Amino acid sequence: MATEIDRKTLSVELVINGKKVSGTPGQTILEVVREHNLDDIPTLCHDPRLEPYGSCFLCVVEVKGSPRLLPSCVTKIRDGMEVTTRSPRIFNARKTALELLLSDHYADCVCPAQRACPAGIDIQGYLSLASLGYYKESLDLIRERNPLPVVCGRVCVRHCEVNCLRKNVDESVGINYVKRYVSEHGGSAPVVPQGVKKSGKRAAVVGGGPAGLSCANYLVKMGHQVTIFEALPKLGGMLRYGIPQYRLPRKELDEEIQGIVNLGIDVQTGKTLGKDFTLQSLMDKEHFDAVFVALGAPLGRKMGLKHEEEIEGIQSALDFLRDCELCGIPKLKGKVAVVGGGNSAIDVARTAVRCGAEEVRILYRRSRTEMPAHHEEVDAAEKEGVKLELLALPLELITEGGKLKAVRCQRMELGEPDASGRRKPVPIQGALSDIHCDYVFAAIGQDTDLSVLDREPANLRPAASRWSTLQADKSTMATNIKGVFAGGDAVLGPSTVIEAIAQGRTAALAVDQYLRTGKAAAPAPDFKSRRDFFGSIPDWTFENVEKTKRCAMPEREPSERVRDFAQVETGLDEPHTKTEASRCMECGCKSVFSCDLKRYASEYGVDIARLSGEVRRHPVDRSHPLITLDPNKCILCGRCIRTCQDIVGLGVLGFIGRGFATKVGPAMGKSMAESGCIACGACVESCPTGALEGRINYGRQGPWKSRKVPSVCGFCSIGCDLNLNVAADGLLWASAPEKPAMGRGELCLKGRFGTGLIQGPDRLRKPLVRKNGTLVETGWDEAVQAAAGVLKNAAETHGSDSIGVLVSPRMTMEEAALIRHIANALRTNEAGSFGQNRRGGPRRDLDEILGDTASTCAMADIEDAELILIAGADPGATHPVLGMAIRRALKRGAEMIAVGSSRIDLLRPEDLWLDARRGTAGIIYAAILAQYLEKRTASDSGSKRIDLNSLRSSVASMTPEGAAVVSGVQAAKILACAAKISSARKVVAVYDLDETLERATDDLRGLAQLLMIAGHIGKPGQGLLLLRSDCNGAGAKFAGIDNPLHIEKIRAALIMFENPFGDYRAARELSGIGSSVVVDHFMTETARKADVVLPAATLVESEGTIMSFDGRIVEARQASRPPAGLANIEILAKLANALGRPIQSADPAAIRALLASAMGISLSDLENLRIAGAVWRGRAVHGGSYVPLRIDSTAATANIFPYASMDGILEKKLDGLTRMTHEDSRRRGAVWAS
Amino acid sequence: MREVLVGLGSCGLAAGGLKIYQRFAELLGSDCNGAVLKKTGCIGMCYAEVLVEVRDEEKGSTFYGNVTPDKVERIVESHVKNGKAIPEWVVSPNGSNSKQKRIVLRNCGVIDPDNLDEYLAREGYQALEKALTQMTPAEVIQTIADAGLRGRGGAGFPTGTKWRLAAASKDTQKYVICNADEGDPGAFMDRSLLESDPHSVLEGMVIAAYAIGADTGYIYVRAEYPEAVKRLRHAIAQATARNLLGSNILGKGFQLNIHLKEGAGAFVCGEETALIASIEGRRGMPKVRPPFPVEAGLWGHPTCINNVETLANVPWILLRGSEAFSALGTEGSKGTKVFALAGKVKRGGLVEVPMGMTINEVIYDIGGGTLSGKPFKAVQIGGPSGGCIPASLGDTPVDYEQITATGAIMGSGGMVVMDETTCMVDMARFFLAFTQNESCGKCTFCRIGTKRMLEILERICAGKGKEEDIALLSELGEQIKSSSLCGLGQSAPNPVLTTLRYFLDEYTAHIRDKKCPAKSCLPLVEFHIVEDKCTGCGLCVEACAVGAISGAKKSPHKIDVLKCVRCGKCITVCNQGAIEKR
Repeated sequence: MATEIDRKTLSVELVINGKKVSGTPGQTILEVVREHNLDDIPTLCHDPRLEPYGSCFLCVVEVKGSPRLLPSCVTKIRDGMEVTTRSPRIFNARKTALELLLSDHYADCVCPAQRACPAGIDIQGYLSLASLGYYKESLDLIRERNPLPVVCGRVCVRHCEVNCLRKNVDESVGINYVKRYVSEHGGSAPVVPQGVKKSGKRAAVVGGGPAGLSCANYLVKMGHQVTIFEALPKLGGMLRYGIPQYRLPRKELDEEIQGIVNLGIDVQTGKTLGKDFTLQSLMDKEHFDAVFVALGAPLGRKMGLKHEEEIEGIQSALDFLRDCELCGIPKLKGKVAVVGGGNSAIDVARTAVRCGAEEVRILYRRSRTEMPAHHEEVDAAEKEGVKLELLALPLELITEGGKLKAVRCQRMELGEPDASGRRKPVPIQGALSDIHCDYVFAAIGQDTDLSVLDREPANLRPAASRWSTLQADKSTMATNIKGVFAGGDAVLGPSTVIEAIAQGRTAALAVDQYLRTGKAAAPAPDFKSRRDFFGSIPDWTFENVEKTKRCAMPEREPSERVRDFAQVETGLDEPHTKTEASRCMECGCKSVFSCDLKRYASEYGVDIARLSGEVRRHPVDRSHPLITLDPNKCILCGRCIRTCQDIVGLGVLGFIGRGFATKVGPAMGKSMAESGCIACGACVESCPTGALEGRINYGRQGPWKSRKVPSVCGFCSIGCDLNLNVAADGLLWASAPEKPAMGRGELCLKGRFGTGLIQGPDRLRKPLVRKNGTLVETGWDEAVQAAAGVLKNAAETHGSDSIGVLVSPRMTMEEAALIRHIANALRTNEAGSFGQNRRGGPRRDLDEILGDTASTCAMADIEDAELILIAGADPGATHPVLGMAIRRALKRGAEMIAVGSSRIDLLRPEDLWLDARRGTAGIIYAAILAQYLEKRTASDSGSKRIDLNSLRSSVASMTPEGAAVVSGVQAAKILACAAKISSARKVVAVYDLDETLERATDDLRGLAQLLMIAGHIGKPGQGLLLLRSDCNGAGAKFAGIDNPLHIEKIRAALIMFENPFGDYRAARELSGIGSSVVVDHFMTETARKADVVLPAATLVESEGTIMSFDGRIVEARQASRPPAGLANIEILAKLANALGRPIQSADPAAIRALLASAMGISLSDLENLRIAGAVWRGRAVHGGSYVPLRIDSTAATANIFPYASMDGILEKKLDGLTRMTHEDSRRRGAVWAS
Repeated sequence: MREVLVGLGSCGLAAGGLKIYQRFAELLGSDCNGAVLKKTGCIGMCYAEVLVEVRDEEKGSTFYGNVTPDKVERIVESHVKNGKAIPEWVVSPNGSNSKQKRIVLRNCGVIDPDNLDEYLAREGYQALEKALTQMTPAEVIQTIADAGLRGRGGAGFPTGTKWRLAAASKDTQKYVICNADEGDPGAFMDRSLLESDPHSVLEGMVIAAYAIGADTGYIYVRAEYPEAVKRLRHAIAQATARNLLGSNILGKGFQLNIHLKEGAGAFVCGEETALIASIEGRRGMPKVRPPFPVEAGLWGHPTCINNVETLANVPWILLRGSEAFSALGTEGSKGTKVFALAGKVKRGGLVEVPMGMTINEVIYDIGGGTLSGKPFKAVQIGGPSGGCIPASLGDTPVDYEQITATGAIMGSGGMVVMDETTCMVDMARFFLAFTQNESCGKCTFCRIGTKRMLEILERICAGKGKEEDIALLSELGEQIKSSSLCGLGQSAPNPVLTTLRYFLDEYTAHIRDKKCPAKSCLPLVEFHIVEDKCTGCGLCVEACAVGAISGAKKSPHKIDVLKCVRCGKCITVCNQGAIEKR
């Protein structure tokens, strides 16, 4: 007691970073620092839900008097302590810790393809979105880093594909083909993001090529006012004036550029720098705050041959292509020689073919393999009749009568490799040849025209390099002139479109910084772990990848395409695009957006090379259907191990080995699949890196950035809080909440992984109405009218009472209230759950005794219970999160008694198991009651005493011995159970209302009364927990939709979320139903028989209220729009309207008014309960009264209810998910932590 | 009457002691001139095993070293039967008796460890009786505190203070644990003690339990010490049978049950919190302290963990009084210290010296100097957690504070002597490889940091060291020391840091000159044949597996250094000593 008081009253005074703070004894430095928000101390192994551990040594701090650095997560505060959380020594130690961890971290943060992309496009992300058909989202993702996807989808040089690791298996993924498809079918114009504030600053972009367009695009999206100055008549730069139309059609180019301009960019074409304006005039006269100079490299390089400039028919490739665009397509007569081996040479050659040239030859001084041009392009050119004249170096122009006749070439051979690694061409002595031609187009390079800057004063002229390019800082693109930035070919020299785009974006980010802060700072470093840093990736890594062929790009026949300038490549169709996108091996880490290791490595500027050494390469364990264990990414923080032991109560994972070789995995070298894992995914949640990853149900795993929507799980009645992570409508997954209202934020298999199951192609997306015997898709209005018609007709024909409203309590309370409203409209009282009815009707067992058949305590009470009585329930299997709480309690030292015919997986050898025959539990409770009543003196008074007496007489004949004979449980065990229940101070009993096999006559009433007599009901912290299988089982009755049904009378039905026709016995019972309206998510057997099928929303698509099994009122939030467009309350409101009982507003809040009155509380009380997630006890009374039991003392028999499965498609899927993992581990026996 | 004692510690057994014992048994029969044959433990002169002592009532003891079965008959005939010693086989004990002071080892090699009566005959369990009958627990603790006994496990925490903290706890359940998880390479003090005199440790434990109020004890001993385990188990059974252990010790109503827990050989389990985890059935991984085991140890209860040697001191102190103990030693370090002398020392074995004796004295006066007779170069004290003390600091006395000042630690008592053929870089590499393997894997710096240090040392030894490696080694070393949870990590860099401190020139020789001054790092040495010495016998040519040696018969041979793989086979076969490493 003394220590309790000490803890509360004493405080510890200490100094942190020179500031006096106080904490409570037992707190750690980290806790105090975080509580007072004194610093952001990095941690990896720390988890506030777990015991302090102290292994990563990232959280080290200095404590005065200690020569060592101390991990703040485990160091307890002391009076007078002086702590420093920031110093060079601390920074270095943390940095070294990160460097050490990353020196043994064999993983790619992002895929090598993304790393290779100059613009850093999230390739894996957009491929995965595309493979699932999310083209808009895919396109948006590309546009985050590349505003010209239409252009790049056709002309990109694809550094990504060269680096794609798929080539280690078969062929690289056709990344750009997918980009092209997405750019055409993403179907949206770029927009300025919502919420961007106008900065009021003006930026000028000089040059309308890819770099300029890119820069302008991002600047305007960041809220700045942008003007582009372009010398030529149209925007596009080299895209338009250097790339032929057959590769990049002008319509698409124009549209894409216009989309960017439409963001609100001012465009001034025909304005040339140095002529019409200067940088000085922009800054001084026109008051631009910053200028981005993207002049390009528009000067074609000369061959340096004699008379080159005098002879007609000789032109640079660039001039030729520009003329084609500006002056129209020329007619070429005779032979053409193109000099060079790059993409421009090919472009010119193929253009020349289309211009009618008789013969086109490409002269190149090296061999074909050294050609810098894309090899696919070279192939295409050859198919179009272009000839390659290799190992030929033009020496001289041969004229005849002043007219070009031939090019004399020196023949070459290949010598030693040069600096570029390519074999150097060397002349073969005396070998010359003349190539006859009428035109020569030189495609041997291009330069920037810096003369446009001549008029600038010296203090405004950006510095140039010795290659006549502008000098700019790589990370900001800033030149030496304040406010002047430069990029694209003018800085790079002739380069690629994607590099220009990348520089444009880099500049935009820096210009934004400059405009907002006056300083162009480089972006913070973004650390990326990479496997290739540790040498080549071993082949065994790819062993399990199935080989597939890369989809070929369809193209027009050469004979046809040479006749015009129409596009040659026609693009992949949708199925091929999806196939190609799905070939992505997802090399990048799924946790890249959440990885703490990556975040800290960036923050601390980690140098991965400094401490590199041996790295461990582990095989990835993908054996488990839902959880992937990748030891390569593991940093051995032990959070997963401790989470599994201390929160889940199991011990699936552990450390294996010692020293550097230590790793995390299941014991005995087992795989995850064989480990006894219950797939709750708590380990995944706890992992600070991507070593443990949950597999979501979409086939593709992203990674995707997502927004979090806090909501509630709807897969059982526990009502766990969860976060729905939404990447796109219909693309979402669950994770544990940061600050759980209950428990420790654990979820189970269903809660964590089930969410994906409710999406998918088999969801109903359109209302269906039966016409001529078949269900056909239709609009909502027609379908709802038809539904109302079906129900009204039936009512007229058979009478109101013949209409059944068969609904599962797997819905929100608002929906339930609307269903009641509709039942009222139909004037039927037959509103209830058919499944419930089959299980013996709605449970009212305790209404008489406690005022309500509801839990009398909260789930949290398990954590403090001294004795847990599991009566006819198997929470470990049916309600795993409750199972975890029970396991924790047992580890803490609580005792457990189980009553039931089957061994449940929570049961340990030391627990007391009353293995009663099925249906005989009631007699055991009666016998215990009889024992208690025998000893009990008549202390109760009045009516209670009379009640007690009647109970006493009803169980008078019960003896433990008699109960032993009937139930098969030894009398000694029954007595032991009785003794434990009466002696324990805090008892929580768990009973499953929807369990049918273990149920016995009057068992629940017997159980409740024996708990009452023993004093465990009506006192805080203990009592009875009543489990239900459906998420709103406890709440449905308050809306009045759990009536007992008279099946035989029903002739027509409105069926929601129940699938009685999925069960042949139930179907037989319902054979009287002539017509039906079904509201469901999937095409169930019941829906197939319906006259009208209305596609419903799932809980993640709904806003509403749920009541958990222990009476908490919890808020469900909409995370995703319903695929059919309407929320359930909108559907039901429409139906109510059609039935002539209109609902004022289909707004959930308005419907809650209905609900509140049904519950007998005010609307504001209900809203307050929802916000607080508070417990509502409804009609329950404390203390209760006693009633006699109706149990035959001699012959209690199994009372098995004719249970019929009401499972729809979703339940079957969930069941499959469970079987896949949990059942297996149950069969093997649960793993108990030591 | 004469007694024949055969040393049957692990050292004696390994040298073939059992055969000698059997041979004596055959020759002496059941009774021979009244001579009695006995087993005993380790007497400390492990270098001379098998060791046989012939104890004469009048003439005292004579020790025969390196006894082989064929020598037994003559010893029996000449000495046992006729009282005539055989001087040429006699060895004298380590150092003179005045140099060693045997408190802990008082019974080692003297009594039969399996015979409780022999222990009792030498004042055994008298200290316990005194404690239980004449002293309160507080008085026991005070005596130990006054004696100045410090933990012999390495850190030297005052034992009296530890007991007092444990005794102060109000918890009704407390534990005593004997830490016998001796794991340092080159250390065998605890093993020898447990094998040779288990009861002194048990007695110490019972007294400790009495002092702090524990009723349950554990001895955490390595499973790799089968002989110690066997003898301990036997000793526990004997003591229990005589009410020296169990529920009513000496009829005084005091209770202590001792369990043996065999460790699986993880070095880190010598760390208190890891040891506790291991007893609890969990993976042996250290936890942060505080809480210290004396506050919350085994299963959350106050637990007092003492080292084997510490406990063996306890009975002596109680019987002789604290002053007798504190009269020995230095200001801060009282009593004696047992060392396992090993390495390149002439007379390796178990020695016990008063605190304050200098290292030079231990090595030269007791150990007899190095094997080669040349001066020693350095001594590694404290095993892989300790450090290297150079010969220039040979006058450092054996004292906790003074040893720590050198950068080494006292440790549990391993003392590995090195001469000029030991490469200090390679030695540091060896110890670091050991700790790296034995790291539990928990802390980042210990798990990966030591690995990276090891890689650097490996590359230096292979002649691939870089100039910046030295700075990196000390940086990493300091950071590992500073940022590890337990003693293993905090001390793992010590061998490297101390060699860097005292033998930096050897590191630079490896890195800059690509030379190993000790000629021990094979990638850095070249094998050469000294022409003058080579007789051209051709033995080396035959021995060379790669055909690197050539030369005409009877004329000096040559080694082709490019072909040579430096296996060293030629050196071992050359009778002339003509092959040398350069």
